[in-house]
This record gives sequence, structure tokens and C-alpha cells, in this order.
Amino acid sequence: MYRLIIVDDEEKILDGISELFPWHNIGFEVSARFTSALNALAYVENHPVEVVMTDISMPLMNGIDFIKELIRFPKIKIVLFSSYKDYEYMRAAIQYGISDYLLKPIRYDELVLCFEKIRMQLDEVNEIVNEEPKTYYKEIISRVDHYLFNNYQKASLEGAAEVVGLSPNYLSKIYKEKSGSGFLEKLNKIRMEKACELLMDPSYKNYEIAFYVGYDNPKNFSRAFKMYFNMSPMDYRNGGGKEKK
Amino acid sequence: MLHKFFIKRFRTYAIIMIIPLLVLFLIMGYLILDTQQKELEKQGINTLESINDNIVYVAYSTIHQQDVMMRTAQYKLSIQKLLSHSKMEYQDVIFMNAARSFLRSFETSYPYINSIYLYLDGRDNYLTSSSEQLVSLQTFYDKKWFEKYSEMPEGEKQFVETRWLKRYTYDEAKKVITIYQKMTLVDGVIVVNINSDDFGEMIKSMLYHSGQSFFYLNAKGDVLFFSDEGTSRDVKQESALFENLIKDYQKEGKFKNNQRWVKVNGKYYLLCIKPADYFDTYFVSLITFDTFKEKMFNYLQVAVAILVVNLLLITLLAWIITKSAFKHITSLVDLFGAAERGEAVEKPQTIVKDEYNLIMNNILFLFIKNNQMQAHLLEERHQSEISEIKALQLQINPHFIFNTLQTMDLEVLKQLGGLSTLHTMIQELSRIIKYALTDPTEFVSLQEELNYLKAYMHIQEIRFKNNIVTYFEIEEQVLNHWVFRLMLQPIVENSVNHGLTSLNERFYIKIKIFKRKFKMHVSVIDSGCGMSKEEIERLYVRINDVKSKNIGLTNLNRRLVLHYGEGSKIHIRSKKGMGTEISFKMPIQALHK
Repeated sequence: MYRLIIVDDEEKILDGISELFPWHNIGFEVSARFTSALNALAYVENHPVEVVMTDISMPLMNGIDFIKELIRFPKIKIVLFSSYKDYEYMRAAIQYGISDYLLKPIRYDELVLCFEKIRMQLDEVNEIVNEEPKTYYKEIISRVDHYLFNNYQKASLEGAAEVVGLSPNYLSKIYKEKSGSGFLEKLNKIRMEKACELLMDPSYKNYEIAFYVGYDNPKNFSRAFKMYFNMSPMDYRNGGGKEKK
Repeated sequence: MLHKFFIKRFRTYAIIMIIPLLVLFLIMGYLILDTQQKELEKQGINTLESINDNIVYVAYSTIHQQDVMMRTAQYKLSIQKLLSHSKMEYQDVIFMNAARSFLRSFETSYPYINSIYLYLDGRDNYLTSSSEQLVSLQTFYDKKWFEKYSEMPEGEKQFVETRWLKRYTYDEAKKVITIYQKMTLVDGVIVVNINSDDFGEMIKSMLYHSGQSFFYLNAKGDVLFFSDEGTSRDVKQESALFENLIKDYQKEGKFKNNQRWVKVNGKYYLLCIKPADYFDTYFVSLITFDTFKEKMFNYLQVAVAILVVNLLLITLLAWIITKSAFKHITSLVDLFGAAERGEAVEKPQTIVKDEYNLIMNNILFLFIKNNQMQAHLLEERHQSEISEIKALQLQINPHFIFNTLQTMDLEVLKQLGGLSTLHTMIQELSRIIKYALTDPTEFVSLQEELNYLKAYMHIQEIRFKNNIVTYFEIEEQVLNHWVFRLMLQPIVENSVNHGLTSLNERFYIKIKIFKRKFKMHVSVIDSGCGMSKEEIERLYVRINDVKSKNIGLTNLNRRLVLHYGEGSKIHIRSKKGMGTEISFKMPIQALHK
């Protein structure tokens, strides 16, 4: 676990970010949180910290001034997060060598991606190899499958990663390894089976089914259906389905 | 202004047209005067010559014949005998009759010859052409001539005078011109009386016109005959005129200048004088200046008429041209004015008439183009100002907005976990606000614009309980083209706001983007309530109204036209109860970064 401190003058946000994101799953622990950059700086000077995540606009000492001070600790990785892109801030940030820049409200996938990258950099430096117990993966696979069955219409790798508290890349990798089929393959299978069900109900139109099972273009749905079943949705509806069953 | 232009133009034209005309008139006038004078001079001479040849010659030949016959001795003796003796023999009577008939023949063949007398010096009697034949100096009614003859100096051979003859007391006195011619070989005289009135008639018939008058002078300059009463009265006032002329002639042997303008009694005459071939007499022709004036007056009348017509023409021409030029100028001023106010200006359809027009047109086009470009610039500035204001309104404090959203998101996560719709909505709403707040002039890839649109539609779908279904039919190859921000959202928003009929019915929106013939076609089709023809018309009017406050489609339409030209205007197709299609197309080459 790498030690992370978070700085934001708004306590609600500070608490939310600290508590609601599955920091443990991606290898971090929030060792301290501060509403003032001055306090944070004092903490950093006396405690070992690997990552600092800080807001920019804050009273007394703002984020930019804070990271200027942090130059003294070249090993510390810095992540800025702010309400909007300000080019002045961006320039200063690049100048002081920050790792990433996140925009509020923080999107889970962006956050995970950012910290995954940081962890890999830290891992390289510390030569750490992670190994998790088998039951941990089983748990992940079943949670993802559950997510897919219930949200096949809007399901995405990013959504699933959020549910299990992993990065999308990492999830995709372990899902394929542990369940035998790829994430998208699984999603497609679920969608096609659902589509078959709906096609049997004549009150649904073709493009409605496409929409239902998560295609925003009916043509794409037809193409995917044909790839999967070797027949068009029309043919399936007109009797092809029964033969198959 | 118009008045001033007109006067200026009129002056120019008048100078151009009137001056050459006046010069022409002057030259013509001079030529006409000159030929007129020459003609008059010629007329004068001709008249005098023909009078000389035709009339006076007759008198001369009469006298000459008698003179010649008197040279024959027999005739002379017979005459002498006839005049000397009162007693006549038979032969004498016969001779006398013959002689009288001979004289008489002249009288009868030339009506203006009144009578002819033949007289030998020292005799009491003389032979006349009248019926009395032989008359006595004492008894015949005409005695005065003899006094005159007796007074004639020795050396003088001939003499001409005017006299009054009165035969009977009840007769009116007759004016006659009497020519005395002494005979060459015998001492005696032949007298010819010419009837002045008849002579005048003859002369008058030979004159060219009423303005000409004729004078017959003897060697002393006395007027023997005049053809015109008025002129003669004038001449009497200047009695020395003819006398001096003739004196000069007799001195010099010729006239210095036989044709000249003279002033007689305050009037101008063209005088022409010529010595007669016979009897030492002179002819004078006077042509009044009035004749001249009359002819000149005719000429002047024509000239003035032409001038007046010319002036009228110039006025008309100047007026028409000024008027049309003014119209032109007014239209130009209007055009400039319109262009300055930034109104849409039609390219002026001026016909190129000359090089100035061409240059003027070019300047004009440049000016208008420039103005239109400025108008566009202003429009764009205005647009960006609007966007900025909109952004500023949102930007009251973006930190506040996003921090609030962040707090809400975290709160939702805490209470509902990661899969709640509320979490999704907050996430998508944040995305939308961020996208809308970015610099509106910055271009984005169509992919980005579509991502934003999907986030927008995602919220709409949630709002309308999944009753809105959006399809995207996008060709892969167009995704990397660059478009301006918020190009699609106003149309979709419009469809949802106006097309959605009932919340229970499913509402379909299809977004179709494809490339065809160097154009990217965008069309948004919905299954909404649709519009009638009138509604479509009204919508078109609102969309094309620059001043319209309608932010959505109007704004989009204006941005499309500004970016891609008139060909990219929004196109609407709709059928009441069926749905609506809103489409536009953009040139591909304008869509590369």
C-alpha cells in the first residue's frame, strides 16, 4: 500500500474522495487528509508520503504554491484536481512536474486510470509484484457478471470497473484470465440471448430491440446478430429461432 | 443638388454645342452678306447695262439715222427746201409725208417716244413726227425747246433735259425727257422727246426688285429721270452727290469706285454708277439697305430658330443625363449607406458603360465586400459576446458549480453506490457543462461532439423514463472531421421540446451523418408530432431572422451560414403527425483542421 494524502478546502469533498473510492483495491491508503495546504505541508515534512492529491483554489495557500513547496520532495508524486481547465494552472503544473490533472467532478474511470499509472511507476521503483488470493478473483468475476446481467443495455468496461473498484484495463485482463472469455464477448453473449427472447415477442420492433439490448444503431445490431447466430434478426423471427432451439 | 448638377452640365453642353454653332453662323453670315452684296452689285450693273442697251439705244438710233440721212445731199436739200418755203409743190408734199412717216415710224414702234423734231438753223419751221408735220416756231405749242437749243453753247453737240409739255389747256402736263442732238454735217438739231411715264414703266419692268431705284443723269448731274419717288426725295437732300461723282469722272476719265455704299439722308444705299454709251449721260442704280436687311433678317431668323432649338435640345439632354446620373448616384449612396449599416447588399447590377464606370464598380465591390466582411466580423464578435455572456452567467463561479456537483456526486455515491441513475446524471451533467463552457470558437472533432451529444441524450432519456430512443447512423470516415461546438444539440433539443407529443409514447430520434459528393450531410429525424406547411414557413421565417432572439435553431443557422456559406442553411421537411427532418450539409474541405 502506498501512502496518499488528500488536500481540499471543502470538507465534504475531501471526506467523499477519501472514503468512497476503493483506494485499497488499487493499492493505496489515505494516510491523512487536510483542508489546508499549510497543514499538509507540515505533515509531509515530518511523515513519509508517496502521493499528494490536491485541489488548486484554496484560501491561505493555493495548490500551485503548495506544489512549489513540494519541489523539495522530488520522490513525491503529485495529482492536481480542480473544477475546470485553467491554462495558467496547467502551465504551472507542467512546470513543477505533476503526474496528472483531474477535473471535478472526478470520474471514477479517470481517477482509477490515473492512480493505476502512478502505482505502476511506484512499483517499478520499489520492485513489488502483486499477488492476490484466488477467492478475490472469483468474487470480482461474479460481481461483474451480475452487473452485466442487470445493465446490459448501458453496460461498459468502465462501468464494471467502477463496480468492482478496479481499473478498466486491469479488469479486462483479469476477467479474460479468470473466466475464460473476454469482457465484451460476455456482454455480447448476454445481449444476443436477450435479443432472441425479445424477437420471439412480435410486439417489439427490430429497432426497439436493438435499442433495448444496447445498440444505438440498428444496423450495428443486425450485423452483430448475424455474426453471432449466422442469420439476420428477421430470419430468426420468421422461424429460424425455433429450429435452433 | 440636382439643380446645381443640372446647371453645370447644361453649361458644359452649351459651351460644347453653342460655340461652334455661333462660329459657323458668323462665317455663314459673312459669306451670305458677301454674296448678297456681289449679287446686288451685279444686279445694279446688269440693270444699268440693259437699260442702256434696250431703251436709250432706241433714242440714239433714231437720232443717228436722221443724222446719217442728213449727210445725203439730196435729202438735206429736200429738207432745207421743205423748211424754208411756205409754198410747197406736190413733190415737196410727198417728200414731207415720207419724212414725217419715217419720223413717225419711231414714235409708233416705241411707245415711250413722245415725238421727234427736226430743225435746221435759221428756219422758222421745223419738221415734227406729229400730225401737224411741218410747224412754225411761232405757232406750235411746244416752243420752249427752241429757247434751250438757242442757249446751247457752240461747242456742245448734245444736251438732255426734262421738261413739261402741255399741248392743250385742258390737258395735263406731261413730263418728258428731251434729247437735243446737233447734226454733224448740217447746222441743225434733232430733238427727241421721251415720255417720262412710259419710260419709267419700261425701266421699272427691268429692275430686279422694289428695293432698287434707277436714276438717269445728264452731264451736269441733274436728275433727268428717277424711278422711285421716295429715293428721289432722299437724293434731293444730298444734291451734290451725283454732281461730285460726275465731276470726278470727267476729271479722271473713269470712276474710282463705281460700286459703293453711300449714306443718303441717313439711309444706306448700294450705289452703282455707269456712264451711258450715248448722249453724255449717266445711269445710277441705288439699292436700299433694307433689301439687304430683309435677306439678312431671313437668315438671322433661321439662325435664331436653330439656336433656340439647339438650346432646348441641350436643356433636355442635360436634364435627362443629370437625372439618370443622379439616379445612379442616389442608388450608389443608398448602397453605400446600406453597406455601412451592415444590411445585406445585393451586388449592384450596373452596366459597364465606360472605363470610369468600370473603376467605380470595382471600388464599389471592394467597398461593399469590405463592409460585408466587417458586418460578418461584427456578427461573429456579437456571437462570441453572446457566448461569453452565457458562459459568464454560468461562470459566476465554476468552482462553485463543480465543487457542488462533486459534493453531490460523492453524497450520492455514499448513499446509493456506484450504479445509481443519480450518479450517472451528475456525471453526464458535469460533462455537458464542461463542454458548453469551453471556448465556443474552438473546433472539435465530430467524435467529441457526438460524445457530448450522447451524454446530453443520456440525461434526456433518463428524464423521459427511457421513452426517448436515439439512433446514431454515423459513417466511420466522417468522425475525424472538425466541426464547431454544439452543432447537433440545438436540433435534438428542438426535436425533444417540440416534437415530443406524449410522455407515454416512444419518441425516436435518428441522427444520420454521411459523406456524399464532397459534402457532409447531417440530418436529424424524429417521430414527433410534425408540422403543417404554415408552421414550417413560420419556422423558416424565425430561423432566417437575424434579429430573432431564438437562441437554438436561429443561432445554429446563422453559425452554419457564417462558417460554410449560404449553401449550408438549415433545411426542414416535416409532415403533420408523422415527424420532422432537419438537415444541412457542409463542404468537406471546410471540415479539416
